[in-house]
Amino acid sequence: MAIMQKLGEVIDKDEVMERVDGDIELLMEMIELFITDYPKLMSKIKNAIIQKDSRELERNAHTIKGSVGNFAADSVYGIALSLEIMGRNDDMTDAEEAYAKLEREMERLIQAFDILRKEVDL
Amino acid sequence: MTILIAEDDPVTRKILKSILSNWGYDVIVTCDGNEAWQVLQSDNVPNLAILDWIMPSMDGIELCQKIRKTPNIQSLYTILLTIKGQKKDIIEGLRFGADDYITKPFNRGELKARIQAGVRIVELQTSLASRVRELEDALANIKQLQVLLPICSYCKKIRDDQNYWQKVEEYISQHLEVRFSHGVCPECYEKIVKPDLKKISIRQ
Repeated sequence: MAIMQKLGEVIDKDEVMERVDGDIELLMEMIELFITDYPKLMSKIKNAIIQKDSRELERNAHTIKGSVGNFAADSVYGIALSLEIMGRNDDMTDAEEAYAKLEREMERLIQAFDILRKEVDL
Repeated sequence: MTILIAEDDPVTRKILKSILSNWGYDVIVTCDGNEAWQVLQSDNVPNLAILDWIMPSMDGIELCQKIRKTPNIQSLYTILLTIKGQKKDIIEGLRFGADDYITKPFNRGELKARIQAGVRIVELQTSLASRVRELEDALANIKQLQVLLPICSYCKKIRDDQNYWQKVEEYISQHLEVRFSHGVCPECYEKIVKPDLKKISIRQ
């Protein structure tokens, strides 16, 4: 029960299942793709913040936002959006703090994916 | 019906391809604007294109503008895929040549409805284009008739392009989809056939 609650905090499962039309296999493939792809985007975002490259920050935060949007992962989506806006406005004062938050939320999302996978395996 | 997808995010690409294939469409998947442009220049041009707004190398807007400037694909039905969803961006997208837009993450019902609207227009365009071709062929036939024909005042033969005199019915049969069946009109029957028949019966 505690596990299910934790999953619900990160992902809106009903919404995700609606998006994939109940196709668990498709959802698992999407998760695989995400897990392979996101570390690259995270390091691009980190580098953009270090190098104060606001365009690069905007672009990569935008991409990661689009990707997590498919999983109805609202908290990660929200932080990615705020980073994207910082990039667009060329104001990176709070970017490092937001990045740390994004890292934490991303970790929770990956844990949620693990729970989902286990549920499917059962 | 073939749909081209240009999307840099692998997760969105996967879900789009899967949904569209399930709905029975043939799907060509590309990862950025340049790759999509390569497909559009091949012989296998899709009927409809779903283009992500922000992509590396060439973005959706740029691609839209290029499509509108290229004669053989300029009427390709294009749907822009965007997470922006702000009115200003949507207006910009449509102004640069997109036919429609879908905001991400998309709702399946909306995606289906917008694609079906696109398919209706594509089918209408295709049937109109084939009607126009038929009409152009018909017009070319009519033009063949609009020439000055030299005709012999006595035997009514017609002189063709090769300076050859041929019978009216031969000439018309060659230039139009017309065949002649021979008969005798009442006037000629009275004037020619009847006297001939009379001569024959007298001889007998």
